[in-house]
Formats: sequence, structure tokens, C-alpha cells
Amino acid sequence: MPGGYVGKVAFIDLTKKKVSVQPLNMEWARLYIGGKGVAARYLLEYLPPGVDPLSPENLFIVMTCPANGTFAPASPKYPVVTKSPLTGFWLDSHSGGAVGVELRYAGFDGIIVSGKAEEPTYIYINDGTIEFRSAKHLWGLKVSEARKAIKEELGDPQVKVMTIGPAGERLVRYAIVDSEGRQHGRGGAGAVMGSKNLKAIAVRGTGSVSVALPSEFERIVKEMEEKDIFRNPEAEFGIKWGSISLGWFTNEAGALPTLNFQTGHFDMYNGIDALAVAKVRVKRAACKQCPIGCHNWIFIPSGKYAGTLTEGPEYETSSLLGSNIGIGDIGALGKLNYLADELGLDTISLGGVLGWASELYERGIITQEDTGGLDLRFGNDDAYVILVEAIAYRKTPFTDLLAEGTRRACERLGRGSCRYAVHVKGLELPAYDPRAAPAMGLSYAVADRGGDHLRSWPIGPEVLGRYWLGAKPIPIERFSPENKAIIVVQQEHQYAAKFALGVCDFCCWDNERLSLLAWAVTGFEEFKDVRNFELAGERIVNLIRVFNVREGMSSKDDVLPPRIHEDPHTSGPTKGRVLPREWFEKMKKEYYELRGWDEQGRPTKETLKRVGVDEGVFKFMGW
Amino acid sequence: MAYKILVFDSGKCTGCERCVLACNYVKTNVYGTRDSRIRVFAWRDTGDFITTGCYHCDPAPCMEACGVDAIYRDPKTNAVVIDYRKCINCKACVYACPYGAITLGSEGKVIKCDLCGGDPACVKACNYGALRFEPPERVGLDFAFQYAAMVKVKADISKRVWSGIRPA
Repeated sequence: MPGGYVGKVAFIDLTKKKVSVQPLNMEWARLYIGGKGVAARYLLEYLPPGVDPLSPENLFIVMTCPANGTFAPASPKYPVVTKSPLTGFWLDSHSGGAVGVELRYAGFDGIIVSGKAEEPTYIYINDGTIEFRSAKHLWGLKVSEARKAIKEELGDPQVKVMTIGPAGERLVRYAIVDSEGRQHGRGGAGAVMGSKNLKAIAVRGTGSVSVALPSEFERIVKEMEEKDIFRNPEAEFGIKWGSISLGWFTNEAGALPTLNFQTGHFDMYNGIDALAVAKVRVKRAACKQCPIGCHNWIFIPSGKYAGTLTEGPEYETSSLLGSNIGIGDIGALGKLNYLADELGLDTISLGGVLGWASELYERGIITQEDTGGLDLRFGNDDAYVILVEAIAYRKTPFTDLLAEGTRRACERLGRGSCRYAVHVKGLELPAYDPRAAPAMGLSYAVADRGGDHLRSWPIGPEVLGRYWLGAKPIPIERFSPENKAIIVVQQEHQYAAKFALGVCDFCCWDNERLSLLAWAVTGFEEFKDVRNFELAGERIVNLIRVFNVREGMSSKDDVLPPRIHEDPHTSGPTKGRVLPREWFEKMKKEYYELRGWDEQGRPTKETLKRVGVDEGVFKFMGW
Repeated sequence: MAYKILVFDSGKCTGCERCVLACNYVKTNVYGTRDSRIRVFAWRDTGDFITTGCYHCDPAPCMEACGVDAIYRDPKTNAVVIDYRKCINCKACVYACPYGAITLGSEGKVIKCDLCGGDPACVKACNYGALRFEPPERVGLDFAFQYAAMVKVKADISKRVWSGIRPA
């Protein structure tokens, strides 16, 4: 087995309670590196088209990446992959929790879970053996309680647990999967686990992994640490403050979603910014094998929420559960963050849903009759705290509605409320407002899992005004559609390949070094050339597009919510700005051309041949 | 007395386990946790991380428990190390160690920290200052300073207001 891979994938059928361990398809591993790339190929092959995401037929895949569990810096990230209950399309959701690494030590590259258990179950994977255990006594427990109970039951403190909270059990469509205190947040993977009656996956491994070229690997790791982490100003922000430091940048740029995306600048942001977090920070923490250590543990010492101890808030949380719902107090933000994590809700989507509900309330579209007596004004944290818990348990008809996510909720509610719903393909937008950074709009619209910031991040080059195309910088005009599609395309390649390798988005932006890392870990000679690494990224992007096209995606889905085009920002440095439709259409057209997709957003046969997907993919396009 | 001391400062530990990976790699050339001489226990619900390993006690219970004198003190590093030529793998040292610092490795032999012959890999892997290799005269200074800084905050000496810190 070449280094970097364990070589085994477990197919777990919950209905029949059967496990079949099969060798990893090395042809696919070579083409799609690992993680989301390989998982995409498995999902395409084994998931029948058009299944309901919350039905037993849907697959729940945990796939690790080649760099997981090695000494490569900031590389413990691994995805859960499934068909999203929120969007109905592709979903991969990464976290740096310790389960992925442990799964490799336990002797598996990945597990593919299908079917539905008769009663609440959890899976225990222990050094190559897989057993089903009853989770009746765990059903209903919050995330940290369930994790603790499983560790006590198995009698091993080093067991790593991946679990859902009450929200996942009740099929809230944006429920998370918690992996040792880090969250697979977006897209509702928790609801998929809940629909399978699968409470948790506990993993213990005492094995080991190795890399293909140890001495090269050591050299490259050293180089990455020196250049990408310790002497890199971008990484330094992560080391010093954590992701929350991004808020200073976006608030100044007018890209901070505020009051359900009505504006891009929040006046009370200094109550929840990185400095406010640092004041109540009690500890730093890190994902496995990471020298950056971006997690903040905060403890609220006084006020209404005194005694709250939680990890976070990350930048996205501070924006969506902070400025987007009018909260400018670190105590309230910490409490909401804590509740969302413990109950198992995605803080980004939750913030989008709450912001949407608050705007409807302020506009008089819904009243206290609908909300069950709650006063949902922006910034009313008492109401939000009650509401979050009620959403997770689907306590009232109103929270049952909110638990469906903004797209389904607005369609069911009617009353013109969809005008205020801010989502792409059903996934609520994260914390970079496209009106302040037009390319971000394109990035959201074409991202494989819906409105998401982790497929490309063009706001950086846009606001800085510089972008390096190869060795030479090209000028970037911030408020213009020119030269934007190329940034999104290239960044998508980088992110796809990097995530498939297992490297965190918070580290290492140099393709050459990433490519060499891939070469040293896997031993595949082609990665000595950086172009092949980028091509692998392009291959993964196209492969996932094939999956999405098969599930019915076309260019009419690659659109932005009307608010972005029609409602100008009401304050801040970007006051009066919208993202004009013509700009967006121009960028999108350019993007499709650069990608080699037709006008409907379908990859052409030539494109698929050029990027080199395996022959088996063509049948899914009907060729 | 030129030897240095391995200092565990768990208050700074972030739970990244790079020390564990480094230790395991130095001893076995693969990445894992089984053969690591150092361990990190994580409580992810409260953010607590505790690093444990060998403290190289003097007198060392493991050394006294060993019936065949296979454990000795390295004169160069002052580390307590196992002489595998004499070791009969009876595991008496495992039971004697009050800290659980001696375990069974993947090859079935008892294993323990030997300070890598005076240049510990775990310390080089730690970026957070949670593991340090310090000369004896330095040991304890950081902990004392941390305590002093805490008292300073409580007492608020900068404003010359004594808020009543008394011995417990």
C-alpha cells in the first residue's frame, strides 16, 4: 500500500446490521487524492439518483485524507459527505475533530453508512472491528453529555466520538455532527445521521500511518512550518486571535452581514470582535497535529450569562449569531454559541434563520401570534435563547417551521417572506456580503454545496486589490466584474485539492508546497509538478458538478438571493451598493467558459476528458 | 549537574498532540499514538488538556521495583532508562509507576521516556510552550511568575488598592 493510505473502506449497512470491508479503490485515490474527492466518487457510484436525503437510501460517508494523522502541520481535516437535506445536492462538511485521525489509526480510510437502524444505535470501531451498540440510553442527550457517556461506557478515555445532539435526532435540517468538540457544521449532516437512527460513531485506534517518502516529507513539513505558519502574517492572525480576527477586516470593508444582510457594517461590533473575545478568553486550543491553535475558549465572568464556558465564537458565528441578529454583547453571543454547539445546530444557518425571522417580525409579516408570544426584535437575546432551544427540539409549530431552514420555511409560510430569505440553493449565506465583494457573489452561487465561503475566497484579493496569476500580479478593481471569474476558478482548484489532501483552509496557500506535500505523503510522482495538483483540484470540482447535475442542478440554481441585487446597503463604507445583475451574469458566463461547462452549467465531454476523470463517470452524464 | 529537566506545563497545552506524534515517530518511524512515551488527555467539553509522561523520579519507584536491575539512571541526562539487555518484561515497573508513565509498546515490550538521549523530540514539536526542556535553576520560575501575575491582578497593585488577599 503506498504511503498516505490505509487501504480499507468499510461499508456499514444499518438496516441489516452488516459490515463489509473492501479495499480502497486506488485508481480513484490516485485521481481524486482522498477526502472529499474520493468520497465524491464513492457517492456517485453507490448513491442512486434522486433519493430523499432523509431516507434510509441516502449514504453517510466519513472519508479521511492522506495527510490526516501524519506530522503535516494543520492537516487533521476530514469530511463527512452525504446528500444534503438542506439543499438536496452535494454536501461535504469538514472538521478538525480527532475522529478522522483516529479512524485511520483504527485501520480505515473511510466508512460508508447506509440504511436505517431499527432503534437508536451507535457504531463502535475498535482497531479494525466494527460493532453496533444500542444508543437508547443516549437518545436525547446533548452533544457533550453523549460524548462523556460513551467514553464511560466503553471504559476508555482515549475513544474519539462523533455524535449528534437533540437537533440531529429531530431532523432539524441544519443539524451538525460534532467531532470531539469541533463541528461538521454546514448542510445538515446531523439530520442524515438522525434519520438513520445513528446517534454516534465511536472510534479507537492503536495502529499507525506512514508516508511514502519520509525524508522528503520531513523536509517539506519543516519548510511549511517555517514559511506558511511561523513567518506568515496571515497565519499570525490565526495564532494570535483565531478566526474571529477576520471580523475587523470585513467590518471595515463593509462585508459584515448585519441585521439579516440589510447592511454591511455593524456599529456595535466592538462588543463581539476579537478583542472582546480576547478579554474573556481563558484558553487556546488546537485541532490534532496543528501548530496554529486557533480555537478560543471563553468564560463569561459577569452579566446575564455569567458562567458560560464555551469554545468559540469563530468569525462566522460572531457575525451570523452576532451582527446578523443585532447582538453586540459577547455574553449573549457566547451563550448562543454554546447552545447551538450543545444542541447540535449549525451557527451559520441558525443565524440566517433567526435574522430572517427577526426581519419578518420587524416588518410586521409575522406577529407574536405566529412566534408564540416571543418578541423577536433584532438584538433581543432573551427571545433568541428561548428560540434556539425550541428549534432544536421543534417545540412549537413556529420553531418547527424554522427548523426547516430559510428556503423551506419561507415557501411554507408564504406572505412574500422569500424576498427576505438569504440563501443559495437553500444553504444560508455565510459572513461575507457579496455587495462589498462582487466575486464573493459568484463564489457563493457556483459553490458545490450551496452558499458557502470555503470553496473560494476571492474577497481577500478583491479588497487588497492584488492577485497573482502564476508569477505576475494582475490588477483587480474591487467593484467591477472584470478578472473575477479567474480568481474563483483558480481558488476552487486550490481549495478542492487542499481539502482532499486534508490541509486546513487556515494554513498554507502556496500550491507548490502543497503539491510537494501531496507527493511526499502519497508517493504519486505526478504531484512533483504543481500543475497536476491543480488539475486534480479541477478534476474534483468537475466530478462533484457531475454529481450535482445528476441530482438536477443547472445554471438556474446558480443564482443569488434577490436581496443581494436589489437592496442597497443602508450604512457603512459600502452604503448604497448592490451587486448589479449584469455584473453577476457576466462573471457567471465567464466562469462557465473558463470551466468548460455549457450554458446550462453542465460539464462538457471534452472538459471531463481534459481534466481526466475516470471512464466510469461518463455514464452518469448519459454518455 | 549539567542536565536539563522536562517540564510539563499543561495550562498551556492546546491538545494538538504533536508531542505524541513526534515521540511515536522518533521511536518507531511511523505516525501513531501507541508507542508514544508521552500522552495527552483531552476534556473537550471544558477545554482542559493534561499532558502526562515520565517525571524521572529520584528515587524512582520503577527502578526500585525492578527485580533484575534493568532500570538505571543515565549519568549524562539524569533520565531513568530501561536496559533491554537485562529486561525480562515482567512489567513490575508498570505497576510501580504512580503516574502510568510506563506502558507496553506495539512490540509487546515495556516502554518509557528516555529523554531521547538529551534532546527530546516532544519539546521540539510543541509550539505552545506546554513542554519545555529547562535547566534546573529555571524550573518552577514560570509557575511562580504565573501565580504572582494572578495575585497582582487580584490585588490590583497598580492602583494601590489592597483587596484583601489572605493566606487560605
